[in-house]
Amino acid sequence: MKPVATRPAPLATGEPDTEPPALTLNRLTVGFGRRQVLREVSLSLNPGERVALLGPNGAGKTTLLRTLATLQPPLDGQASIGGADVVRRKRAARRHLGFVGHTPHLIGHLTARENLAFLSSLYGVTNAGSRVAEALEVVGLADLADRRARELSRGQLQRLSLAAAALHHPTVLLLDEPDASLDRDAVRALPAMLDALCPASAVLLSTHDPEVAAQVANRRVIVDRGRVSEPDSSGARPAAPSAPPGALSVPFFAAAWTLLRKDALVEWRAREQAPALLAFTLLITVLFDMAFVIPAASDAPAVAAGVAWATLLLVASLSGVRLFGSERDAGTLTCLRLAPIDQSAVFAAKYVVLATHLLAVGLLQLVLLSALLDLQLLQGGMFATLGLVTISLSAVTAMLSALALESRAREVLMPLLAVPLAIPVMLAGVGATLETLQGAPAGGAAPWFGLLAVVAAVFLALSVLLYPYAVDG
Amino acid sequence: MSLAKSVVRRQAVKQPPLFGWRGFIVYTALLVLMAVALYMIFIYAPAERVQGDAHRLLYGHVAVAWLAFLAFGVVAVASVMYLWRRNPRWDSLAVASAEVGVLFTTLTLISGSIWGRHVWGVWWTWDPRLTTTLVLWFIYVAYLALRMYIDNADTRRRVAAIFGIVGFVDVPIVWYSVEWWRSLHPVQSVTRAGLTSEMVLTLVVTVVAFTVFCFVLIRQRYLLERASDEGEGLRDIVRNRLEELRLTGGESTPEAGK
Repeated sequence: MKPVATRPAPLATGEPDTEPPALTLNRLTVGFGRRQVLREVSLSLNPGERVALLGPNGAGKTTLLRTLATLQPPLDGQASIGGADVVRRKRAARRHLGFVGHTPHLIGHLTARENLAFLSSLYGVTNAGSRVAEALEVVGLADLADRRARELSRGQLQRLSLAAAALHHPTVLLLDEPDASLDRDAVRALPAMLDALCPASAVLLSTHDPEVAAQVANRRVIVDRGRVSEPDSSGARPAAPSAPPGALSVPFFAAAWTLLRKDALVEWRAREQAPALLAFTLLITVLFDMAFVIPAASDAPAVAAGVAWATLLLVASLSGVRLFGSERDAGTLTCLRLAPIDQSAVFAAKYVVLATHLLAVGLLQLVLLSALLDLQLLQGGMFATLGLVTISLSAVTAMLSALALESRAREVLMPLLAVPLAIPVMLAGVGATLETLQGAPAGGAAPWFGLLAVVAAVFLALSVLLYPYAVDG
Repeated sequence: MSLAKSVVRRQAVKQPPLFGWRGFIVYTALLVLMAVALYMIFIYAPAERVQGDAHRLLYGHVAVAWLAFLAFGVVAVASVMYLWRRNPRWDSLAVASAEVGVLFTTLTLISGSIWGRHVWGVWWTWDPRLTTTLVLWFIYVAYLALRMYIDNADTRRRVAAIFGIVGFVDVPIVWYSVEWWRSLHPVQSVTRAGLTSEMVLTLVVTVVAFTVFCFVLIRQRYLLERASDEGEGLRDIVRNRLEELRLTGGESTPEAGK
């Protein structure tokens, strides 16, 4: 067993007796729906303590840790991290929280260093550059710092996850089976890594291996048959050092900007969306043009209007599937949800990504249709229409993308949800286009631009109001 | 054994109110009302001057159309209440209303289509009312589809509530866009002039009969949804209790089955 004494001296300078526990569980019951997995767990961790949750597979260790990590609501009882309740004060709790799950929540297309730098910005880590370098050094990845995360091995990823979770000096570090993909030497080095990364953090780790528990932790808690018990609770608990401060609060626009830069970089590296969407636009425009054979010159504006906005609607619903879905599939959604930022910043960033896609697609389409139908579409009224249609469509689709996240068969569902809601946008787009190309009809122009502006405002307001309900429950 | 007892006790909590004598009264009233409405539509009301007997379709048509809209309004209110209170009963009300609303919208579209074929000579035209009703139908079919595709009950309720609100807010927007869109290509509009007092009375009775029908349907569907939720709850209670018994080796702890 690792002797407690080798740990660096506690940083406490104040009165250790009044120091609040880093982590408190008060008769916490966790599970799914109404099915209880672990019942009435009461536990308290002081800063700097390392506690192993020891139990067989399926005992409920992961469920307990995910509940503490604010990723799922408890069924009953309370838990607080750094004094912040994990249900009522999620964002505050997240500032004090580091979590390493079963699967790494890292971004595959970013390098190890970029991953840590990205998280530093989201967690408001001061002095990020040196902190990242130091963390990489500690977990032994300094040589691989500029390799992309997707090229790292499972064990290297696990170590990078540890560095990522400890970056902001969390009050509580939750490790879900950290030994799962680490080799023997790495497990043996784990206590030293924790000492170097975040000496004052309370660590709660789950494992089914008593040996690992003995190596890493100084307290053991047995999880079995729906209950938690502590066999040797009489042992001396380490003197509590001061709890580390946790993350700083990052303002909304800074967080959104960080997320946007990340998305742009990932898109640049992966080229997952843009080429496919542009090719799709080209294809469908040509297809429509062929299907209408050769429209008479007088019909050309109507064909252009219909093709342009119907295609944009299709592209939006197609793109919406991937918008949040790609984060979920890559496992990085958890990383975003754990960040102590205003979750609406995630929506704002995604909104801008989608709007950019749609603007690019729309411009390509105006050029194509100008050529195919011999029209002058590259003019002010058309750009204004494109702008307003993009704002509205992006709001609808981005929100639906977040809503459909937990559903099966997102690809099938997205158009089903998006198209009916967005029909007014398409009609208003068609109306505004005809107005621009043919002048106002005899009966007086319908206020298409006004309608587009109202639709944009309504959908934006709805998505801003309702998005928080979509992600955080 | 206390497991069996707790299950039985739980089941006896509530007798669904529409199966007892109250149900008898409601169903009888509904039957009588429907019979009267049918009599008035087909025998009492006179044939219309221009449309002839085809107009008899419109009594039911108007009733189901406005009730469909009312049902979608209930979905929106129940959705807001669910997001606010997080009580699953509001969600049950929302899903019950949405299903009845989709049913009634379907009836509206079919009856309107048949009427249109006789009076206008076409099955379908892009009249603003028709188009809005069709879009409404698509939105709430999407609502039901969305519910089908989400497995976790809490997520399903939350997500459906959000979509229910957005869908309802979209309705006036759809209406205006469709109306202005059609104004570019004017078509004949539905004239409702020349209703005799018998026709008005028939319309009122039909609307009342269908309103009762609508509320009975929503209530039944609501109770079914509650029963299904209860059933799931019972299954979890049994599972939790069995687990408890297995762990404690048969000794029962009274409060454990909660």
